[in-house]
Amino acid sequence: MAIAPITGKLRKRLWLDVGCAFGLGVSAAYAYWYGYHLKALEHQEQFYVKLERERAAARQ
Amino acid sequence: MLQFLSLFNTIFNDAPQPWQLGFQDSAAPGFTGIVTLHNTIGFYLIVICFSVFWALFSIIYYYNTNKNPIAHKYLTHGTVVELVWTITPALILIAIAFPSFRLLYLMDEVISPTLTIKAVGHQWYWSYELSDGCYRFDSYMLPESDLELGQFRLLDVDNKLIVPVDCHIRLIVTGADVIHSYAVPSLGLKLDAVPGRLNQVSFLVERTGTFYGQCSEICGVWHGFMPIAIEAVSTPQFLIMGR
Repeated sequence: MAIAPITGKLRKRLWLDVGCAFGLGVSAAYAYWYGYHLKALEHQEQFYVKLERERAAARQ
Repeated sequence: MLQFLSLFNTIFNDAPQPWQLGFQDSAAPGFTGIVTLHNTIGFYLIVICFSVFWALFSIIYYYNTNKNPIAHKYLTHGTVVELVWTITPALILIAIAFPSFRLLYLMDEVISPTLTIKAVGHQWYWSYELSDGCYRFDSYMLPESDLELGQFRLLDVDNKLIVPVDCHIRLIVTGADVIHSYAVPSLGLKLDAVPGRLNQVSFLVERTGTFYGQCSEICGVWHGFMPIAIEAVSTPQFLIMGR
């Protein structure tokens, strides 16, 4: 007896897989953006603000 | 152990550290732009990595030979999925290309420079010319025997290039013998020094300090022993030193 074609196996889990992959991916990416990148940028900004204050104080 | 822990810390030096993975601290707007672009692309990279690995493990788990002994027989063709995995990366590449080109052209701009410096790569040292060649000096690596406490092995030089902070500086780079490459990570500089050709770049140092770099083009047996050291000083101090 011929085996019936196996269809729809990918589609059954497609939305779950796409949702989980992008959900986790975007969450991890935002964690990296806010937890690392913006923090590092803020740290650098603070340094230059401090430097500018010191320069202004030295000028006075 | 402490070195291992330092992998996860921010580097606060303007020279490379043992086992360093990340960038050095930026001291020029151009390099801040490069780091921001790198981190922006990193954002996309994380999303792509999660998607690819999720799909990979999902397929391995649900479509292995134990669960689907003949699945491969019917999984030979899929026009829609092929279109999706061709067009999506193309769109992502376009999204990455625009900020990349923007930064590339911004960094290429030479804004009316206050100072022009010519750096010439030799086998195996750098020489500098300032004020249209009126002032010229060579910069050799300090041998280990001459190092003082706090100086960097293979990075410190006998004559550092002194530049003022907050001034637009034009750097013209060429080679005297073979191709070298003038690279200072903290300032976002990497420029090939090609004999018979002048390459130029503009940079601005935002803070005082000493910034280290190395030749980044294999140029012979002592390629690893022709470092670059740039000392950024305040403008009044630079003018005093110039006298």
